[in-house]
Amino acid sequence: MTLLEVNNLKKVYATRFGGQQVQALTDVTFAVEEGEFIAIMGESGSGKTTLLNILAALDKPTGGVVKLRGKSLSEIREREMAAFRRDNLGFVFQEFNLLDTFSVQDNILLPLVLSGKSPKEMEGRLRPLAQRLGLTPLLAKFPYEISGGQKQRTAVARALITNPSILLADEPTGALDSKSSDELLSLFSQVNRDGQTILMVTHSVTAASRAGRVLFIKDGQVFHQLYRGEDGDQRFYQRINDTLTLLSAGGENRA
Amino acid sequence: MRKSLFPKLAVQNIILNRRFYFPYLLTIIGTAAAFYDIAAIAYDEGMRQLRGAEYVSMFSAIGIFIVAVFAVIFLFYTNSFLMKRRSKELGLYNILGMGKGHIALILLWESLYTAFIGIVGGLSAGVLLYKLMTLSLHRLLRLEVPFGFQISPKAMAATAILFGGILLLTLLHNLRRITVVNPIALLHGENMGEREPKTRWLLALLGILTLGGGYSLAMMTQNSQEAMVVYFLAVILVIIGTYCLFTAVSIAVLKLLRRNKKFYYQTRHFIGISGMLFRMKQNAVGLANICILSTMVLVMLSGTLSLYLGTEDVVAQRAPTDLIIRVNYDPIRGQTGPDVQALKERLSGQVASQGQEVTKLEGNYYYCFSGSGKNGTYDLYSGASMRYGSFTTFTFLTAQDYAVLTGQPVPELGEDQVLLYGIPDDSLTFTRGETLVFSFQVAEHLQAFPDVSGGMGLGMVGRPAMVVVKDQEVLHQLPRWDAEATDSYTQITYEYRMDLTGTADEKYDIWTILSDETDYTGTGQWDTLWIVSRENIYNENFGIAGGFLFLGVYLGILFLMAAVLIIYYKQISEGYEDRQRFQIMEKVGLEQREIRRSINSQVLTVFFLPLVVAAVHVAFDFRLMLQLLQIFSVTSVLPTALCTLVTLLVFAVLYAVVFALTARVYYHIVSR
Repeated sequence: MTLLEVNNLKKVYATRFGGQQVQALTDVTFAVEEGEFIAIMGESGSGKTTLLNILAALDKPTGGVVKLRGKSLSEIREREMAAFRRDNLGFVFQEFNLLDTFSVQDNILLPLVLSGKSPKEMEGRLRPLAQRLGLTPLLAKFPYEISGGQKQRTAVARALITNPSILLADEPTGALDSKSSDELLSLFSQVNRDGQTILMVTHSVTAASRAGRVLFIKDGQVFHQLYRGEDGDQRFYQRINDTLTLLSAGGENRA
Repeated sequence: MRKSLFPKLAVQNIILNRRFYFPYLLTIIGTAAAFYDIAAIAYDEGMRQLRGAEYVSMFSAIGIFIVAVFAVIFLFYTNSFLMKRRSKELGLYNILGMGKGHIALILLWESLYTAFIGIVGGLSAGVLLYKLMTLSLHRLLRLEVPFGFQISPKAMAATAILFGGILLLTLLHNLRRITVVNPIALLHGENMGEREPKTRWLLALLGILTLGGGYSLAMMTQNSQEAMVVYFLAVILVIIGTYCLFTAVSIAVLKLLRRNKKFYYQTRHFIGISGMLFRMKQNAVGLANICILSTMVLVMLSGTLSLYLGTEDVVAQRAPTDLIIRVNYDPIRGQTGPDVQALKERLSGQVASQGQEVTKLEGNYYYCFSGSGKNGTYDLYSGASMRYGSFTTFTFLTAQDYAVLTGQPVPELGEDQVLLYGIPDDSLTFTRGETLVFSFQVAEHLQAFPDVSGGMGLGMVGRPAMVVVKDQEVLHQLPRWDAEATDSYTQITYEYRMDLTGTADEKYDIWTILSDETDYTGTGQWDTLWIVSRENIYNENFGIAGGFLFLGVYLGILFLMAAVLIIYYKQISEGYEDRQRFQIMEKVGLEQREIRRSINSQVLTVFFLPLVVAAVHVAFDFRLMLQLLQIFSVTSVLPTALCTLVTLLVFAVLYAVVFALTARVYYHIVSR
């Protein structure tokens, strides 16, 4: 079943006085099936972050439609937007974005508190999730007391505790060392096997090679996509790398 | 590197950092102007010779000292805030390849510009303000308003030296900071120490104890002597308590709230409590400062204002008539006292010779002393009265005079019988230590007593009691007993109270004539004759009260300025810290409206907490203030209460305005 539909998405940024225009997204179309793990790749300035911001409803497209479970994001009123985001979307950022005033536990519980859940229900959801992500011994600590990898796991827990339809990750391994990156990606694979749909924007080929499908964005369009098929991580890594080389070579030829 | 680069960079830095530099410069200009003005008043020779203004000169000398100390502390505070904000910038210079010597040069130039703008600006503002102040001061002291501008070179030099010195010290402090610290630490200077605050139970307990101690001291004092002794201690306790309250008690309370899961896990409380915990950690000292400064402003203003407004009453009480003529004589040395009738004629004759008339003339004998103790037994030993801190001042009149003053028949009294007003005792026993000196039986308690002047015990320090004895013989006996018991005594006084026709100046002339140019031979046997004019008392009292009010308003404005500046700086630093939190919360799915509301309520709580605490301090201080005002004979409660309330209200409004203005800067930073 199709979970997320993106049709002819377009985004134009105008400079402040309306002079020059910058086309961040020209025409992006793709669909995400329930339970998929998708990586979106592209160079800096290719429009990845713009795309993610629009999917996260943090930014509005200039043209085109984004539909989640058949419902267009543009139909949601401003007032309900925050609640919609909270209930349907989970976010993981490169910079973790944990609140340093909260303990790990309270950081994870934040979205539930915002939704007005009872302490009992929070407890019920927190326990198994913390167990699964190996956060149980860290719950009482504060962000400044734990490592980068642990912070990112906390952020993942915060994203997952609302049981979101889709987990959006923006360069989740960007600020992590390779060991922590591996751990986080294994965690993503595991969560995905349990049925969680994930959409991840990344620079890293290693990270992308753990996904089930990779979309390549260039000049504001989906340029190419690769399915993992029956490939192992190693083989898939190779194919992604080859595509990237081709892409940049092709880009230069065109120019 | 070219030499001219550094002055240019320094100017650029000041302009780029204007959000921090502008208030800093304003602080220097403001405190320098304040210092110049108070010094100019203190050095003003003309002011010292002005009738009634000598107290202002005296208070200004104290003021100079207070303002100087204040300037040092305050400029250091604002400077450290400025430097903390700029540590990143300086670290960046270092990393970009500037040596520490170069940075020091930039800082030196910045300091030079700052000093120049601050001192020159401060002096100019000071000269302008001085005119304004002399105008208002003369109004306060109820004197004629002079014309023209005045400049005090001595005060200018003092200002330049003091502020040059302070700025040099801050520069040295800043230089030490950059030489000691490495560039990485400078770069990260702003984001250090995001640790969760610990609960310091001991400090919290100390806070509750000192605050409770200070408050109960204020509540337990019985009279002005005690109040005077206790006041300083109470102030110190409350100051310590306030610091502990903001640093430790607040955090302890918040942590207790956080432990209550039902309460804590609700959107508003959740963000509020955790936010407040960190806010209190960073701001506790600043908030305590604001609170203490506000309390000082409120206490000083309401106290001095009450004193000033109460002075009209005090004058009326001390000088019920235009002139008060006191004739002292010593029965122990055999003097029989003035010839009341002859003296009366001599006085009236002199008044008539000036073309004026006596419209009222009455008089009486009295004798005055104080004793410590209660329930009818009083110790005359004078040293003891101060030690016990509570004493009663007795004024003795004769039955004859009492009858004339009240227009009633002369009361029938025995040798050891008295009429008593002011205290409820049924008998009066005067002792020295264990030894009985003399005693009286109270024949009747009086419900009212005629108006007599303040020199007779009413309005004096200590509980006043009026005692009417049988006749002059008993009255003459009193100093003898007093002398036997304590080796010291005062003389008996005959007091005339006289009202005249004529203007204030004419009355003043008559006062001079009666005091210095009148021949009193043939008016009986007496020692000294002393005349008080209402005009003098008026000048004297308004001189003191006006001087106090002036100093109170002056320091009040200065402290208010400090409080405002601290609020402003706090708002800015809060803003920069909240910006990140704001953005994260938005990404995690908190509605903008909700974020704004939550942050708003936190900021409100943080900034109005000091005001509320200050108001509580003032409420507890009120009793103490009433008792202190009694020293200046201001005894009415209602006007003082009104003064306090009005001051509090005006201050609260002012505070709110400042808050609203600085909050705009805050929102600008947060929502950018």
